Amino acid sequence: MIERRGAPFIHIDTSAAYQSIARLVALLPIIVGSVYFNGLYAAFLILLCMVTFTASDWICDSIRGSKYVRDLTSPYMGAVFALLLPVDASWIMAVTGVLFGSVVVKQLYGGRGSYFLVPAAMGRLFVRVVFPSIEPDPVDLSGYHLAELFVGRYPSLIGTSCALLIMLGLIYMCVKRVYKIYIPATYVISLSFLLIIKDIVMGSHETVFFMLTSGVLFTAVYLMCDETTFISFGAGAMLEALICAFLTFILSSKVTGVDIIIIPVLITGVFTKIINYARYVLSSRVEDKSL
Amino acid sequence: MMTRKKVIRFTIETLLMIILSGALVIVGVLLTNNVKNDRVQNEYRLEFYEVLPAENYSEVVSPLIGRYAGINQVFEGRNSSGIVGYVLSVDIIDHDTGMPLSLLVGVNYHTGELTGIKRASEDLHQSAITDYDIEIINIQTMSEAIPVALGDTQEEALDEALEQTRLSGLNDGIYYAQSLSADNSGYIDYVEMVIENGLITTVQWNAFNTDMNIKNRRDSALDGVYSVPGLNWASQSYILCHALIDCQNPDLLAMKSDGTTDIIDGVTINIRTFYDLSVECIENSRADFDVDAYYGGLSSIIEELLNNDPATLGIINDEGNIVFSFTGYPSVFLSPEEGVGSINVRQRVTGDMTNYSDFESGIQEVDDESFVVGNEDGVRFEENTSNADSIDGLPISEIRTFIDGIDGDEITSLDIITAINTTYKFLKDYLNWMA
Repeated sequence: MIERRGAPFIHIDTSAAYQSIARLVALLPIIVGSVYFNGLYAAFLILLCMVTFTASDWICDSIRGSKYVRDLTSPYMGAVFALLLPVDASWIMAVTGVLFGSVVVKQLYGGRGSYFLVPAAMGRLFVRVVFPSIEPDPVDLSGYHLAELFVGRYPSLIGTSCALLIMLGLIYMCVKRVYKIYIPATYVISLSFLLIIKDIVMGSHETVFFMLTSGVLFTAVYLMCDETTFISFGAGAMLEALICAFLTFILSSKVTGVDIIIIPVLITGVFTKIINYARYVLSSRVEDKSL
Repeated sequence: MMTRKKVIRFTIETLLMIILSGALVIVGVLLTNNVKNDRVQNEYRLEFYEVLPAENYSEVVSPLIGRYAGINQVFEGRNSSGIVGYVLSVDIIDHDTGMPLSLLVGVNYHTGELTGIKRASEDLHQSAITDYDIEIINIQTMSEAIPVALGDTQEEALDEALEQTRLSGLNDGIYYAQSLSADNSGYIDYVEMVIENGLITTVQWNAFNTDMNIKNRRDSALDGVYSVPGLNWASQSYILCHALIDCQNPDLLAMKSDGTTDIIDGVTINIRTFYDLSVECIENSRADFDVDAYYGGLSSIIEELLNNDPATLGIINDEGNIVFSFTGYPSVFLSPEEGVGSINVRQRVTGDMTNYSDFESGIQEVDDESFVVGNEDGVRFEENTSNADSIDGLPISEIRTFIDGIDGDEITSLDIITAINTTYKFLKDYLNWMA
């Protein structure tokens, strides 16, 4: 019996290494901003997480006997994890989260290209559970001007505050063709739409404030671009963006802090696996019929 | 596969992204500075205006803050004419419950008076001290000079402590003495002493320079121009003056033969000049020779010597001191009596050679066993003979205001007063408040 599959030899410029480098470069604006607003300790945490994540992946790959892929997805994931930490997180917390994300979430599920939950988000959730005291107390930002919030001049996690720089990172990824603009656009627009409806019903005016301060822009740009856990193009990608937006909306009135960033992403990761499976089954049937 | 060209391109893009990001951050920060400042000032005004009305506030950054337990933050209030005062966020312990309480204490910069006290917004309301308790103390201390103590208990202690060290024969008034010759730096030391109800209540030791363009020694020390080992001269002078107010007797400063003293923390300078001038002030008080008489006498001596009064000679500085050194005129203050040596201005003017310096016989009700008179030099007295009764580590003589406190709740009153006195101690150090 002959099984027909899509061609495995399609050549594109954006190889895995190319994409990982481009994503890492796209993180630079937010890293620069976080160091400027939070000081050199933020730089230390980011560097520590990048190095630890890379070393952990390399060691795990060596133990498993698989060849370590020389791209920059590991330092990227380490940096994303660090950017989700509070400013005063200790290095022990950072290393703990990184090791959990790398070893348990990524490597135990097959390593690169096989895991189904974003390791950075899962590592952060682990730290959140193990070190509950790490979470900063909610800060009343109602007195802040929108311009301050847009620039990122308010207390937040290390790298989730500056919408301006997040947008710069998004533009870079889109220009480098490593991320489809319609994915974050679907997420942001649908979430905004839901929030506006809520505002109209409740008589509140919180949509812009929520979009700028909750860290959902970071989610849209730096977490949803992980092509291992998220579909990277097409209707499936838009569907998962819609699911993520809906989950974020549902959770927006129930949780605060980092939860609003990571929980929708993790749940959507599970949905993505289901969508991928459905696509696989669907495409198999189409191929079978065409034979 | 990554080609060399792509690597170079990514490297360039990385640099450009860093530069662009940095530029965006800086531009963003610059554009939002005014907005941020307005917001911060609004928050400060909302929080601080009640305890210190001012147009704007700024946080004081000083290593001193960390040295005072309980002080969280210090803010400086300003208006168009300059500094209005300070607001301190102070944590105290409610001794009834053992829980913390955060208070805001406002103090006027110019008068050293309390401008208000209230619960800080960040207080977690763990303490049993109520806003009403704080308001009672606030009302009693508002516009009163700090530090503060409870009146009913502390006034008695003050009277008792002062009675023990009161020198006999002192006449109330302001007394003054200055060195008759300038030191190597051209400074002429002077001591001014205020005596009220037979007690020394204010002492000031400073020195003006024979070059009237040079600032006085205290200001020069604060500017860093005049330096001495240890604390700056102004601080040492301040500590010494207060030590004299506390013990009321120059002999109890335990000056050694080399002019230093071991018993006053922070004072390492030679105190001989201060001792001599203080003794002269006390003698002048006993002889009822006040500051006006002193200046008049000094003027007449100079006039007699130079045939012109000090004003005509242009030797009166901005502070009104007569700037004249008798270094070149050793015979002016020679005693007419053989074997007596030199005399002072009062003796020269009045011819009164009565011995007014019998300090020990003037001490009343002092337990002699508490004093150890050394065989060599440095008369030592038991630690804190006159400081035995202190409030929050401050000697009673330094307390400026006594209040009734909360009726029937002395512990709470003292807790809140501690916040005020902590504020005083910090500002005294931070601002170099002098006597």
